[in-house]
Amino acid sequence: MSKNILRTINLYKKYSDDYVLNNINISIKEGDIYGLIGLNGAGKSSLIRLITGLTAPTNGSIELFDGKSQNLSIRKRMGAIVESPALIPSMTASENLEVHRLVKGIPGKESIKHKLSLVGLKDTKRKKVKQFSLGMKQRLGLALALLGDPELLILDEPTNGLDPVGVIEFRELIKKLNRERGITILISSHMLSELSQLANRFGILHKGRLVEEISIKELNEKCKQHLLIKVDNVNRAATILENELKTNEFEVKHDGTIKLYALLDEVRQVSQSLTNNGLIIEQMTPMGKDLESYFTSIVGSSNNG
Amino acid sequence: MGNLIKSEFYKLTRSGVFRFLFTVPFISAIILSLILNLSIKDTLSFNLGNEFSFISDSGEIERSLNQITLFKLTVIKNLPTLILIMCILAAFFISNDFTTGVIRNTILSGTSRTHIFYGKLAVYILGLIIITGIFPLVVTVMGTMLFDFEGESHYSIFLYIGRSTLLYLLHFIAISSIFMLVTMILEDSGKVISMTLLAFLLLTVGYKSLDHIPLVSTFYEYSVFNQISFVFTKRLTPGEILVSIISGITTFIIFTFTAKVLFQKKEIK
Repeated sequence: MSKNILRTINLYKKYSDDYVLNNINISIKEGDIYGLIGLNGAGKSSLIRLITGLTAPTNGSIELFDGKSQNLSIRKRMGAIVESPALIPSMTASENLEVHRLVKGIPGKESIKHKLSLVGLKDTKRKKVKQFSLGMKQRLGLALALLGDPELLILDEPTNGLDPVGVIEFRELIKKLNRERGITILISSHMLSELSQLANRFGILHKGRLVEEISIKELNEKCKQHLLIKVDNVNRAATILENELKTNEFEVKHDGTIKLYALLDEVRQVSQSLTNNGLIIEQMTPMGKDLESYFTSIVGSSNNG
Repeated sequence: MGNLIKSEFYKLTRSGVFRFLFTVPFISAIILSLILNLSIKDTLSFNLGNEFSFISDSGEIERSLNQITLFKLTVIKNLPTLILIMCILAAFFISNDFTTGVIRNTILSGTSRTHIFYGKLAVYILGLIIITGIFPLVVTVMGTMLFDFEGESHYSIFLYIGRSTLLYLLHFIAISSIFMLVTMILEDSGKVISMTLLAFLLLTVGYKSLDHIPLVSTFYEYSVFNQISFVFTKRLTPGEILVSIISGITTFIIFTFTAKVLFQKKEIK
């Protein structure tokens, strides 16, 4: 079983009388790409600020790297972009990296060239950061975060301001870092469709509370387009689907319903086969949604609750 | 801590404001030394005794030059000038880290806030010393090379310059710690400059109208703002030296400690 890289335990953050984070318990396993989803003001950035030590929690604790040590220096194993990349505008890309290299005490300057090359900024040479586009600044922010080869990378809305091509390139780079270097990544975004292509686990934050923590597998299962069928004899219905309709793309659930993932455009044929075999159909409903609809439904129900 | 200081020094030396504040007095010092030299040798039509003369602190005309005169005359004791230089560097070297968010990167790197604070303060003070020290240093060194000084023995020159410089530095550092606190409170570079100058103006006006009150005048007399120029008095008694040292150290400890506590509790934007 992979170890916890990050775990928050009953985390609270209060400003004046308002709790911006309320009893947050999340856990991120080694190798995860964890997507933090939430509307503006949901508490994503506040949570990231607590994790990165920019602010202190009102209550609760944060365990990093399996909770082995709460020493400050453990944060050297992390890299982060919080809110927007923090850069010195009057310096070049490599000078900005040099400042951070010196702070971290990383020997040699090769790491600077390497990181600039990794994020596609090796040709910026003497160009000052103030002349960079927003996308270039985001890339440089990522290079800064990657300096020192962190085990945990925390990215707060990293695709803000990137054009569509930039978003795709950024996504591929994140995937590559996770796949090839095994970097665990916590990424927050309001671009849910983007996160759904990147993360393997999600935490949905709403009004400072963690509404749901869900894996991509569970999410796909919940969001996958299917026909929800409820009949009076579920075993017989399963046999008919296999033998007569020649599909095994269905699941028999514990509640006696069937989730049929195939033949979605042939609802009439499915219903006809079942009724022709004497089954009584109590329900046959097309189900499934994308991440955004799922998120909206979760947040909506949370609002109603 | 060593890594932090290296990083801060790297930032300082690449700061355009620092380079400007360093270059101007450096070039001015060389030009002044050459003008003085040429005028003494009557190559230029200056005459130190008549048209070209220095006014000392006491208002007397200095007709002869030696290292002490040069050093005394060129060290920045003028409070408004010092405050202007200190607040400009504080605004561009410290505040900018808050404005750009660069301070976040340092915190994210897993360095303790105490170390970050002291690293920043140390390099800020070092930067100020370089900026303000370059002018008297270059003038005095060039003066020694160019002029044939007579009169004072090297021992008394060394003693005077050494004692004055150390006491001056102590008060200089104490005033710098006040700016560190101001920057920690205000963060924004524009606010640091405008509020500091406004506060200085109000305090000056306030002091002028209240200096007849013994408590106010005594407080000012022992404050670092007065002591920084007082230490250049030719003869200081051991008692005066002790008072000066206590004034500088107390101010430094109070303001540095307050600024550090504030930074440790600060919510970094």
